Amino acid sequence: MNCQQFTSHIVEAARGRMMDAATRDGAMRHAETCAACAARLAQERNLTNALRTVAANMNGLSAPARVEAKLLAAFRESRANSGAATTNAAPSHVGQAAIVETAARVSSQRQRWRTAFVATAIAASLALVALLTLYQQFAQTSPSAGAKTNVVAQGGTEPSPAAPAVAVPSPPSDVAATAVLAQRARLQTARRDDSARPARHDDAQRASLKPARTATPKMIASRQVIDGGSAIFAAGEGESAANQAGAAAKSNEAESVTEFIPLVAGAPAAAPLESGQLVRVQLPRSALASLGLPLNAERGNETVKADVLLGGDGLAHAIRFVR
Amino acid sequence: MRASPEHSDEELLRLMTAGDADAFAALYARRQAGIYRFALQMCGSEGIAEDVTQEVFMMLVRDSHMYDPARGALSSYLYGVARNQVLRRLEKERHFVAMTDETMEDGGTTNVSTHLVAADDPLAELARSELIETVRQAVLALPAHYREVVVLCELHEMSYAEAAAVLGCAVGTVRSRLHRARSLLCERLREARGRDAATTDFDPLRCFA
Repeated sequence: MNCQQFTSHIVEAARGRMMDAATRDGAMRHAETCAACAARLAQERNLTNALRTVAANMNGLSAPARVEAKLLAAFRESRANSGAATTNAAPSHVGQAAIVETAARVSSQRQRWRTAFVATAIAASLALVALLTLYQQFAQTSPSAGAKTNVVAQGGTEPSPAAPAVAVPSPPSDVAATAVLAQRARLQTARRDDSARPARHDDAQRASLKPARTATPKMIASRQVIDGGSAIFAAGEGESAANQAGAAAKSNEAESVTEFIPLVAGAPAAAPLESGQLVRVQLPRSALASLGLPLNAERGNETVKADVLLGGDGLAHAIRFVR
Repeated sequence: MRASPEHSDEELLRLMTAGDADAFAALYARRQAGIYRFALQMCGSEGIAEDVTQEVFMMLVRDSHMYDPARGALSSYLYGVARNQVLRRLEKERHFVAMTDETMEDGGTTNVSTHLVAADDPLAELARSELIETVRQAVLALPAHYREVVVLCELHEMSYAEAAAVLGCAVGTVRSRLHRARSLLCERLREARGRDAATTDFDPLRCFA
């Protein structure tokens, strides 16, 4: 055994506690050969003796008798209280019935409160959902409601204050154009996305049956043909084209329009467009003269509604007037 | 069944819980001295030791169901409760200035060292009482986690396993703490002896001169 091993066993050796006999003999042999470890062992033994002296001198100490008296009194009082509680906990049959009745009444009241709370929570949830729905609808309609600049998108189905409805029956040609438009959109969508995007079939069908709900029409990769005053959109996006067609048909039910007049010099009126947008504007009547149209000078200060066909490049390609 | 000295602690507790005051008295008589001494050796104040002893057994009266026999002996449980009480008291008392012996005597509470003086051989007893007081002060000066190990293993002669059950730690922890506590005690006793030697160092020739 070396000094390090001796150090780890010195306390047990000094205390004289039970330990492995071989370890104890090894420690004693090391202490005989190592003066420093022998001195440490002697010091530890002195400490053990001192501690035992302290312990022996305090062995006679105990808690004062008053502590025992207090504790016994507290114990008896506790037993008396628990005995009274036990007596109270075992009443007569009448008392038991009253307790059962009271418990049932309390339970019934709790049940009623619980039911009322659940009903209130459900009603609050429904009210919250309704408020959210109304808010979303208001948020969707607010762009068209805010169009007080007399610029109205043609594709929207929401009636705009800038474009009041006029009780004019729609021409049959527009209805037919709408039907052609919707069918063309369906066929084109089916050809393009038959295998890759089967969900578009449902979209096109839904678009042909349901009017668009957006105030701003989406006309990505669309082609507009100016044909006899009717805008026909052969759209890549079937839903958008169908929405446009439905919207145009609805709008034309209440308005009469002129033919499209080309605004770009040298461009044919029926030149196809890759993309475009139809914008409703109000123009002074004097603008009619600039297009070579007859003008009533007495009403020159009034305005007239018109649809401007904007191309994908942002330029106005054609215009038609609305009555 | 009446309480008798042959009953184990657990049996006495069961009788006590059933309302047997004699069982409670027997259990108290069996365990109160150890609890009281443990508290006294841990905090050095008889008043606190008395309070701690009372609180430990009051807890046994109130909440005897808190004891779980599967987790250890009842004595270990009582020591554990006493230890928690002592540590709580020490934490409270830490913010107060310790009273001097004279003040304590005026207040009616005597210091523990007065119990340790015998009158048969005044010189031997004086040396012995000085030694005991020095060791006791050295133990009280130890950090609490070392002090409790010294008190349990050295002054109460518990095994490492019993002390570990009281303290709720591993046996190896008890062993290593005891080694460290004893080293600290040796250093402090050596320092105290050095101070005593310095104060009593004199040249006898000059006395006779």
